[in-house]
Amino acid sequence: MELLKKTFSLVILGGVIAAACGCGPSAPIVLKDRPDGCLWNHSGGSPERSSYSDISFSQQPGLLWVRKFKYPLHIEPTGALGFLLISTPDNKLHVVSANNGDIYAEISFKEPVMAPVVISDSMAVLNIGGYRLMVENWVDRQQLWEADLNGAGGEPLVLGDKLIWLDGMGYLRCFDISQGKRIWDRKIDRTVSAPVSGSELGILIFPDDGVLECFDPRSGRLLWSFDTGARIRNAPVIVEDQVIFCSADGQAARVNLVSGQTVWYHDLKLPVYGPIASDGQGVYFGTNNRFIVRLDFETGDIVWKNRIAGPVKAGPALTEQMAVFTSIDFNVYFVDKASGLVKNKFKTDGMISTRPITCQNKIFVVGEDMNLYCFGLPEE
Amino acid sequence: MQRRLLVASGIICLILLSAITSHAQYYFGQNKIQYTRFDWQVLTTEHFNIYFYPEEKEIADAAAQLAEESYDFLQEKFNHTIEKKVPFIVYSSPVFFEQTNIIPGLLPENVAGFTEFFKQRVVIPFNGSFADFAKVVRHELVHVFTMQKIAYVAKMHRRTSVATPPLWFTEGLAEYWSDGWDSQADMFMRDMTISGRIVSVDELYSISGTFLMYKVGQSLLKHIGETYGDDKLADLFDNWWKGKTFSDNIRITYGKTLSEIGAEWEYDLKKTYYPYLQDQELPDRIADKLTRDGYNLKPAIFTRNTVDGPKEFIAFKTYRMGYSKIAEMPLEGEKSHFKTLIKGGRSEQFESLHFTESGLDANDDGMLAFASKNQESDALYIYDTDRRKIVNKIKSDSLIAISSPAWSPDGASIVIEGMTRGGRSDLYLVDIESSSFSRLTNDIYTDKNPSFSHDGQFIAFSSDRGISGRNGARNLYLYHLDSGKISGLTSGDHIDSYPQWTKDDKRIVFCSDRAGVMNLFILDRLTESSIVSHQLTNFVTGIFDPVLASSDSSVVFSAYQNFGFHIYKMDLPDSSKYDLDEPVEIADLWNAGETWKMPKLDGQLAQGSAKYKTQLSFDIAQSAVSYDALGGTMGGLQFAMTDILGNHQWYFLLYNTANTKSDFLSSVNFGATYMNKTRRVNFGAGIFHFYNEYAENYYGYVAERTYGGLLAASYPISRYRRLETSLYLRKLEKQSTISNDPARRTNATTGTMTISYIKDTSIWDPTGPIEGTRVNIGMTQSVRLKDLNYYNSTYNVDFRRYFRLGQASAYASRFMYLHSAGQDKQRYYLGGSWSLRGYPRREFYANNMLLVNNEIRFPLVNDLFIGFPFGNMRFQAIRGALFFDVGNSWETNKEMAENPDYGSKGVVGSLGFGIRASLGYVTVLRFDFSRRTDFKSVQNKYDFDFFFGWNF
Repeated sequence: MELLKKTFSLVILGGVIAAACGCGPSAPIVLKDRPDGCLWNHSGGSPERSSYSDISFSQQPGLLWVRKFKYPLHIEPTGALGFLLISTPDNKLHVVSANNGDIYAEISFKEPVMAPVVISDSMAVLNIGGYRLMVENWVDRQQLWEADLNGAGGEPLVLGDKLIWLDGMGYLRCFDISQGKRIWDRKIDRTVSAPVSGSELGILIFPDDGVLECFDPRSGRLLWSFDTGARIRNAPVIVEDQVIFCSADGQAARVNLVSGQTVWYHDLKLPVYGPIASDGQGVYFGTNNRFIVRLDFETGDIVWKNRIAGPVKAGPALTEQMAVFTSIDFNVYFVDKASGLVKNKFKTDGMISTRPITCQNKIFVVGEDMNLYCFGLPEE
Repeated sequence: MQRRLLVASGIICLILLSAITSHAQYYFGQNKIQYTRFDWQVLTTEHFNIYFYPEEKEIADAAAQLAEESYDFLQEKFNHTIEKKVPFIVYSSPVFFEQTNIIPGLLPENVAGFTEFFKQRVVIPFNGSFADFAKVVRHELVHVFTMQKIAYVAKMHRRTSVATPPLWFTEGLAEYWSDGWDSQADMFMRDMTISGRIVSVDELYSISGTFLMYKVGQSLLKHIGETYGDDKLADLFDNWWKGKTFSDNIRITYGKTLSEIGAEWEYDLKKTYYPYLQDQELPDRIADKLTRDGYNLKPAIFTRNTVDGPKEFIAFKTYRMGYSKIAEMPLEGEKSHFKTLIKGGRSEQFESLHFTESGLDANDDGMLAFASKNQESDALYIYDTDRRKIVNKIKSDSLIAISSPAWSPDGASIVIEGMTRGGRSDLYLVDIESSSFSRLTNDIYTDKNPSFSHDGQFIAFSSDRGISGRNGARNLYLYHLDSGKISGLTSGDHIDSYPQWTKDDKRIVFCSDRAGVMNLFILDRLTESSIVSHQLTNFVTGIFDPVLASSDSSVVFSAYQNFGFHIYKMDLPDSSKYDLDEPVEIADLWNAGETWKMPKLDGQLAQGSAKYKTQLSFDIAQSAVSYDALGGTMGGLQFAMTDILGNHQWYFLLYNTANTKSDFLSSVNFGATYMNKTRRVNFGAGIFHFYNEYAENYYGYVAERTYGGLLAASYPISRYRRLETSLYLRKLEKQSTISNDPARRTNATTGTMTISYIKDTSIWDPTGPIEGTRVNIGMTQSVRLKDLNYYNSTYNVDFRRYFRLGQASAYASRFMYLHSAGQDKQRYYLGGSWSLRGYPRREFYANNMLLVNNEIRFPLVNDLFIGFPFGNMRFQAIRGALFFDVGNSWETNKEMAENPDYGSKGVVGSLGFGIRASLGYVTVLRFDFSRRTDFKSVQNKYDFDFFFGWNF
């Protein structure tokens, strides 16, 4: 089985390289199976984007290897079938082995990739320079279609065969992901900082004025709105039909995605700038004023709240036992989910402004010190 | 050739002259004097290196703690971590701060701190107030974070250049994230809004660099932060690499243009402040405005016997014409009489009157007490208003600063606010007869605005010793002279200041911002143990410095309105007009236990302290390569290195002028100079080797090689005067490349001694000096080293005087005589816009030159903005000039004297008019229209000359 997986991976790799050379397989590969437990990097809020992975470590994971790049890494990587897609400021997207950090391919663009790559099967959705939305088959490197983003900076939302995007002109647009055909548009007349999120039950927009709106993914029709009284600038988490968000002003709430009814709402006075994560039992996040927090999923009460040395700009990644936080104080914090205690702290050489991701039973962190760090347990 | 000469000479001059003293490079200039030699230490914390001297250890510890707290705060605000330790240099007093060598120029008095760009050193003084200090620490750290964040974002996104943030934004952000919104900021914005003169975002350039810009910037940033969130400001910095301009970055981050945000802000201001006029008044609607021009503060009342009997006058501080003064006017105002008593910043005796910080007081005999900077420290002066002269000057060895003197009722003593070398600000009693100082308070709290009761038993003063004082609150207290006890008069988290007793000592008039901005209040001492305060005025802007007049029936004060401070007078208002506070027991107000402590450095943060060691690092490094079709190629580099404190300075210059490979070694030019500025006498040494070929009027085309060494020293007698001397030992080889005439060949090893006396009291407007005196008198003597025989000498006299005629007009005169004698004489050019106008540059050339310039300077246009296709150009000041110049140039060398090109043409002159247009700090454009005269006739036509450069 292991040999088959490796062979399969090599075929994919061959396809990528061949595509870069101008030739390759004629049909895209359907990548529905995720044998390596890689977390698809969908945009914030989709059910898969809860940042929870069922990776379990029998003991404290340690540093396995480090891969140095030529430039600071400040865009969150995407894990896909044993590879990591990492973008760098020199307008390149690197396909890196999650096993050993070897760079298998580099794809060049005219402008830098501005947001984490979103993968859907063989399709990679890229924000190029903030001006172009490009959908490319990352296996055979065939560009499928592109659209004008008008200056949008964020990540898209992929729901099945739909790609939903908020462009720089304030339009929420829904495309067919494989053909790029526009399905519907809707004008959002407000400034939005948080990425689009949602599930098949609804698409969520968090404008800066705090009025949360939910739209029908099929038609773009407004389903409900809710004045959160808060500024959300990060990706909420969606667990089944529940959406939980935390605001930059310190509020946290859980809302029913179907009805828009509030389940709980707390003014925690904890400013949250980065995405949050949930495993269905707790809600985990780091704050700008140096706290790491777990809320009870059902009640929103604080289970634990502990102080760390630096502000947290990005959200945590979750495994069975741990919540892994990063901070601009150069550290990666491995925190016990039950107690909130920092079990291990790893110091890098630069600020970390992105979430860790999990792939192949490992945890990956990219830093502004130009390094890709891989944490896990040594293979026996 | 000539271009190379120009470049080479310019470089030589820059490197040598700039290395000697920072002021000598300007030929005139005022002096920054290092009066004190500090024993520097370094305290290391997690993120900072704090440089301090032992006398201010307490302040250094507090600085370290405050800096680390601010670091955490700003790390969250900017989403940025600074890896390298930030150098933080602390001075215990503004007086010492002004001596810093970290930046070369003189620091204006009200600079509260600065962050230097090259090494990002933060330099701040302690002014006696812990709260002020905390704000400045954070303010400067905002600049450090701003610079580093922008540089980091640019580097991370591979941008070699990004937009420069406008000054209003960087200072506004620093104020917003350090100051909190206080009554002073509110006062400025209220006035600006209510006067109908809101400075829009598109017009912010017009107030660039002013204090108003700081407050307007703060208000704008406050609006942006409160409306869109401080996290969006962090986003703005993260997006900095995306836009070509600052406006682009605003649009990218906020989805709106800067103009749109500005319009929102203006609307917000109007909504906030217009309603105040419902219940509040402007000062000039209620009180009589007594002053007309300038900024006016700190009134004091005195009585003079006049022909009509005793009459009350007001002595006050005023800032007009570019410097501060103490002036007098009657109670009716300056329109009937205005006289300058003392000029500040014009002489060594009154180097600075501390315009905003220190008040005045007069006693019943008409003796005016005030403080002024005199050499290193402040002196207390007594001025007789009848005889119009200084009658006493008192200094203390232990006090570096003195302010806000107040007479005792018997006139035998004065209470002052004094600051020690260690930075402590306390009350002192000065005995006039013995000139002795007795310390009244002795603690870390700042004690200001003392005022004697008329029975001589108490001193009321404002202090931050209350529990809210750590945040900047000040309340009123009583010092009991019999016991030394201190009791409270007011309390609360606001500022109470400027207490003034009524004649019966039953009430105290004071200013307070407890109701929003500074207004007048009165304390009624109901009994010995209880008091009540009433609000007397309800002005919408702020009032300060109240003083009672006319037997307590009227009050004179300064107030802010229409962007200025003026002195006003009104009848003392009825205290029953506004709501009464409840009476309070004095015992409940405050006791000595309810106070705050100076923060001590958290043990975990301190990493140790050590003696300062001089370590050099680069300040600047530049290189250039040029090619000239005639002159060939030239390339070189120059760099400067200094230590952290700027006390040790190294300058290096290296370039090559070779035309061929074989010339390479012989065409190496280098200069290295070291300057030591740790002491009052700045001294330096250097070595050099220069080779150049150029055209010269006497030698023709010349090849010149000179090499040697120099020693130099500069002694500042005062801020305005100094002596300079230098000794050069050099070998000079110079010969014409087109003539074998031995007279055009020089080969000498000489020692040259120079000595100069420089004086500069000039004040400038945008085009040049407009008042004061500039003098440069010097001589050099050179001897041949082999036999110590006389070689040559030069003498120069340059005397300039500027007589002020009006705000922007003056009569300027210059007398200049230059003479050179001996071998290899120096020759001087005469002619051109910088010397004898109406004649081409370098028209005359001889070893003797005499020049007299006379010029009337006057304003034409104050501000001109022209929109060109390539962008806008602003001419800040366009001035006119009428001039009359006289000059003569004569040669003692017989051969040259007979040459019609160089021989003397006798005394010649020119008269005409000119226009000067200032381009800010860059330069001044000069347009001259002249008619020549030989003093027998005047030329008919006008010659036109265009050039650049400041007025003489």
